[in-house]
Order: sequence, then C-alpha cells, then structure tokens
Amino acid sequence: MRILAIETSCDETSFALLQGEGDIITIEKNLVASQIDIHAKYGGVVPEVAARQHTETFIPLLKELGINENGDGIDVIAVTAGPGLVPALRIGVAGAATLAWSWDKPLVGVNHLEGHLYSCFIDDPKPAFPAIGLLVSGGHTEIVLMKGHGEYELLGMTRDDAAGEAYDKAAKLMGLGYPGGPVIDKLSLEGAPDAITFPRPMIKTPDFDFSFSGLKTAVRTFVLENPEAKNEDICHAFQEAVVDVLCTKTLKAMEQHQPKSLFLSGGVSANKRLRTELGNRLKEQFPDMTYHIPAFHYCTDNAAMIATAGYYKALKKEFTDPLTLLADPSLQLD
Amino acid sequence: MTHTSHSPEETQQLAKDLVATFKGGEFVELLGDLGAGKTTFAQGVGQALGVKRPLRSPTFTIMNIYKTDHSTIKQLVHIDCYRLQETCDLRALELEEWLGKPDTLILTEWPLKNMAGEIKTIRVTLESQSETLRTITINT
Repeated sequence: MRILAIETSCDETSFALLQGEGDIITIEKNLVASQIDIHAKYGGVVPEVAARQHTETFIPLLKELGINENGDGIDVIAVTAGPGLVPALRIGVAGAATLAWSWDKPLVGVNHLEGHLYSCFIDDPKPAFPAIGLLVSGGHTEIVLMKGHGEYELLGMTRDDAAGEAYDKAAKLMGLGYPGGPVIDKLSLEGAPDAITFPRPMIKTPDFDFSFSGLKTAVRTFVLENPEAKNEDICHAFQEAVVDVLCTKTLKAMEQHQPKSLFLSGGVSANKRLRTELGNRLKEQFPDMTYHIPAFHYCTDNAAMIATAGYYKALKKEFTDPLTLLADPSLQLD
Repeated sequence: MTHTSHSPEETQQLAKDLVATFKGGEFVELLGDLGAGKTTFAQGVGQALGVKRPLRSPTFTIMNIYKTDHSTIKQLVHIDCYRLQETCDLRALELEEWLGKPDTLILTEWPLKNMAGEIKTIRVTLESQSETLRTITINT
C-alpha cells in the first residue's frame, strides 16, 4: 500500500510517501518545508505560523514528491485533521480532500499526536502492545497507554507548560537562541553537576501529570538573583530537573501498567540527555521491556509519522468521505 | 485597579472575580513578562467558566478553544502570540471568527498590536515583585 501523507497542523508543512507491506514500513520520501530551500525565508528562521505560508509551500512540496497529476501509484491519502491551528490545518485538509476526491482515492484523517506516537513505529523493531508512550513536544507533554493500534488511554499530561516550551523559555531567560532545546542540551554538557539544583515540580504526586511553569519561574528568579552564574551550569541544572521529572513519572506509569514496551516521541524526543537517561533507567528497573525512540528526523513535526499512523488506519479501512473531513483544533487521542 | 497576589491561587481568584463581571464578547489582554502569571490567571478564567481540564499554555499551539459550562459564555478562546512575529498576518489566525461574538470570551497573552480592532479591550497587567509576589492591574 502506498500512502501520500500531508501535515500542516501548525508551523510546518510536510509531505511524505510511505510504502507499507504488513509490518514492513518504508518511508520513500519525507519532505519538511523548513528544512528545504524552497523559499529563502525558510532558512533556519522560525517558520511563520500562517495558513498563507502553507498555501505557498503546498504545491512546491507536492511537485517535489514526483507524483503525476493523476495520482498514479498512490493508494491512500492521509492528512492531519487535528489538533492544531485551524487555519493551518484547513490547508492540509482541503488539499488532501481535493486530491482524494479528484484522484478517487480513499482518505484517512489522522490525529497529530497519534502521528507522534507512530514515529516510533516507522523503524524496526516496533513496540509491542500494550505500550506506554511518553510524548514530549513544544505543545504537549503526555503519558499515553497504547493498548493496540488506535487504542489509547491518556494517563497523564502537563497542567500548564509543555516540556519543550519550558526549554524554549528557559533559553530565552538565559539570553540563548531559539530553539532552546538543542542549545540547552549542548551547553548542559559543559555545566558542573550539582552546582545548582532546581525544583522537580510534581515529581512525588501520585498522578501521572506534569507541571513546568514553576520550573520556568525558578530559572527566572535564579537568573535575576545570580547574574554572574554560568549559563552552562544553569542549563545543566534545568535539564536535569526536566529529565528527572519526565523519567520518574513515566517509570511510575510503567510500574502501574506493566506494558511490554516504552516509547518516546515528540520534538523533545530528539534531546540526547532524555533519550539516554530514560533508556538507562528503563534497563535498570525493567530489564525485559523494549525501548523505542524515533530517528532524529522523525522527532519534530513531519508527514512520515502521519503516513505511518494513516497506514495502520488504512489497514482497518478507517476512511472518511473527502467531502466531510473537517479540521478539528481540539481533536483528542481518547 | 491594582491588586497584590501572594500565590497562584490568589491570582486565579482575581481572575474569577473579573469573569463574574463578564457577559460574553469581551477581549482580554494578558500582559507581563515570562513567569508573571499570565497563564495562571487564564486558568482562573477557565475555572470560573467551568472548563473541565486546566488551561494549558498556548505558546506552541497558538490558539486553544475550550467549551465552557457557563450561562452566557459558551466558548473560551485562549491565544498566545509569543511565537508570532509582529508582521504576522492576523487574518492567518481567523480571529474574526471569534471577535465580538456575544457568547465568546477571548484571552490573549503577548497580544499583537491592534488585535481586537474596534472591540473593547480589557487589559490585565501582571508584574513579578519577587518569586511569589505579583501585582496585577486591571484596566477595563
């Protein structure tokens, strides 16, 4: 089965081509607008959040894929239907629905968060069910129990800021660049361990929820009161606090639900410290469980993960009439 | 009118008191630096309107829309323009879908210039005085 997938849920425009046969998934192409020199203005600058931008990149990316104007060779079209920013989502949904209608191909609407979870199903080995997924990005921080394909239970989430957002704002408070994640991940390596300790919000609460706004305030206060402190030390302490909370809560969820696999996904899953520490703690506490992390280029928003989630839905024939698929900014996982 | 808040709960209570004076159609700007308590204030608004889950920061999602459990305000639109550039085309947000709707309350953090157009704007300015102390000024 060959899937064309489109993702326009917020900043990024992305198209992908997937070939699926049983559990064997091959991503033939994964085009992400901010990483391609289609427009000069996309050179490393924060992609502008605007439906107009998606409109400008839609046709160029579609052409880059090399599909002909009849959609030959495409079996199914998958598109992010939500959650996200409605004007942006609508471009992808309208474009995908138009292609599905005119090419007479089935259409699958995909949940963007589900897409992130499926970024761990692109490569082998695939997680075994039941699996617990930690989804960490700029906009989301959630622990999800995945009982089977398309079967989710939300175990916990952030009550205020997402972890990725905390990284960006901490970096801003230290006067570092954007995006904050990679900068802090790198500078942390040069920080003195134990020079500074930041609070671990909600680390002991019996739920699986998170809170990072207090940590942001702690960094702010520290920076104001310690102008001579080294950014490397602050980055190190901040990252240790975030990673500690994420790992501790996730492993608690593992203990309660005893899944077969743990997987990490979302933009922050590209963070080296988190990938390593979560894997280490898992090996220590649950040596028989498998650990799955996406390849770096599948961590941030991309259409390959949408194609993968769409593929498994297509196998179950979960199609939607192109004339009725709607963008839903508040689409939930469960 | 300026108030002092000693805790997130006090900030949220001030928000609830403000919402008690609303009927729907209001546009509220939440102003203040990182960590001043804008989202905390917004959470108080959500609680006052009977939104089920706590409001999460819209910094990355840009616009979150919540269904409420209130007699006249049926939607709460929570916007954050922190990641948007000043030159951002406001039409890209399709804000006109919500502006001035009598059953909708709009809360905006890091507002862009002239977002509300002709609609009356209520400004809530939060300032950190210490790690736990905030001054909150409400201009209606």
